[in-house]
Amino acid sequence: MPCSSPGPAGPRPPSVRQTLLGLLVLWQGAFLLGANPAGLLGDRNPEGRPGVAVVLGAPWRIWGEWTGQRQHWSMFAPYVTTTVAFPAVEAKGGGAQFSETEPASPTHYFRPVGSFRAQTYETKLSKPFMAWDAEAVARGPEQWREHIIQSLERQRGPVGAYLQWQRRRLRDKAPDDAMPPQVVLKMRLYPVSPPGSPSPWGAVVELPAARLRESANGGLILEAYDPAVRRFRLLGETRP
Amino acid sequence: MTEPRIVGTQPWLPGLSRRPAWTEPVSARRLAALRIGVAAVLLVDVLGTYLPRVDDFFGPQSLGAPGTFIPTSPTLPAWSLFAGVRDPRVFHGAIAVWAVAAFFLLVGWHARLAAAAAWVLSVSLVHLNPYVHNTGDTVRTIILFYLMLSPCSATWSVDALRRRHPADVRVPPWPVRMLFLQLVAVYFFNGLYKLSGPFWPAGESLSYVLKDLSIARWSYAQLPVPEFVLRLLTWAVLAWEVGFPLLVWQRRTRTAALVVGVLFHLGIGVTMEVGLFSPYMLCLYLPVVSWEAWGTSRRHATADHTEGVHDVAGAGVNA
Repeated sequence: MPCSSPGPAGPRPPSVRQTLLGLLVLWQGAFLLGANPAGLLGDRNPEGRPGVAVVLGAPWRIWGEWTGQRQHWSMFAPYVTTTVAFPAVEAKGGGAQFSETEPASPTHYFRPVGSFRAQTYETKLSKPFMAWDAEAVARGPEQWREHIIQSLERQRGPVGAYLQWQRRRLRDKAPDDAMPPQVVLKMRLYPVSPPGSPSPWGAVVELPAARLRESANGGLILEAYDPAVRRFRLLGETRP
Repeated sequence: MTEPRIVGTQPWLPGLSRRPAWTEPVSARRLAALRIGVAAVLLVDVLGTYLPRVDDFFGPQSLGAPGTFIPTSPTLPAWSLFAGVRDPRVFHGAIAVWAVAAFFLLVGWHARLAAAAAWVLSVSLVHLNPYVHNTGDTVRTIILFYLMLSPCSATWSVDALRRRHPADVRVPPWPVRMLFLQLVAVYFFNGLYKLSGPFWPAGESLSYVLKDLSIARWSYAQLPVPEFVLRLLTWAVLAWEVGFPLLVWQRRTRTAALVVGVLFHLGIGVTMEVGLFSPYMLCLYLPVVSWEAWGTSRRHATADHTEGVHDVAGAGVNA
């Protein structure tokens, strides 16, 4: 490790090493001061238009992603979870795989330390359904449909991976049986009651979300559930 | 008393060259404490949360199967050493290397190389399956990024023993200051996001958070908290986060603001299962502590305590 005395600023010009490190430190400072406001202002553009903040923030966003320093500090903000969603997978012909995170009883459980990674996956997978609200969905069913279908299309990769993973786990529970030819992803929703309500949660609601089934050629077909027509529609197809 | 030895490169910082907070070396123990803290948490993380489920999270037929999140060939910015890798043994090997790197970082043996390896693995695995990662993992990656660039093993390390460094070793202050700026950004922008929604200003957020069945450590029904207490706590968190830059800027309130921060993370860690977010965030507090006071005479310690209080980025709390 090189040792150099920083000392007071003197006439000696900085070395290449000092210059490069200095430029990196200054860039990091600009990154911290620029990426955070750009992210905040960009998030406040609900139409998703590439506003000034998004355009100016692009180099910082790329740097943040590339170096693993993504600046998006918004824990429980700006919104909190008003509907908790847990995925569950049901196999055609019987068998179900519930979320590891969903407590057997919402009124009595203890969650141990270290169980968060699979839970984080399921929470991100379920996020579109956390916007569910019985009254709002009744008022604007078409908006809800659009939201869900678009979200599932964006999440095609992780939804497909999750269904395949759970399908194998269902098979592993009964190794003598064949792989289930079809599995359905459902979301089990617990509406959280506002402060002051007599019960912390409302009644559980179960909504179908997606389906994975074997195709005639042995591949797998991933479909999203369309709540407007109450049928599944194609999201993608994979080879066996 | 012998002169302190200065280890590491002082960067060229035009505009900051006359600011002592950015030029006066700080005790190397501050970086060493950060190195040891984050390495210890990383070791627990790798062995406790990745290793038992490596086949569930990475590799073929996993939740992060090739092609699920990033294309099978490396791209920018979402690069990964393991893009397209289908052999599960590679991931077992990567986890083993990660654990070894964390151990080397902990004991300070080829510490910067170990930090670089840990950083590369951290970014690679986060990009490969971002859905099993959360904000705590981002904090971990940021700390590793700074550690690989800074003289983090100048003391309290095998590297320092091998190089026969004296007891009083100092390092350029930039990594400590930058990480402190990062800490300030985390809270301040969290506060602004909270202010921009309806739940925090209304004082309702913590009521919803503690009833969140996916993260609450125990059921809210088992241990209900009076709503007025939750309302006050919600507002207190909001005020503390938004006011954090000002609170640490003022010497009068600096220590209290940092102590509240430690209690805040301990509270989150106890009541919610959000992974290692709290331990990694607490690591960011380690360089703030005046570790130079440990094992030194009172006279020496007092002299040392005068450094690092030049401005907000030089915040220091006595150990």
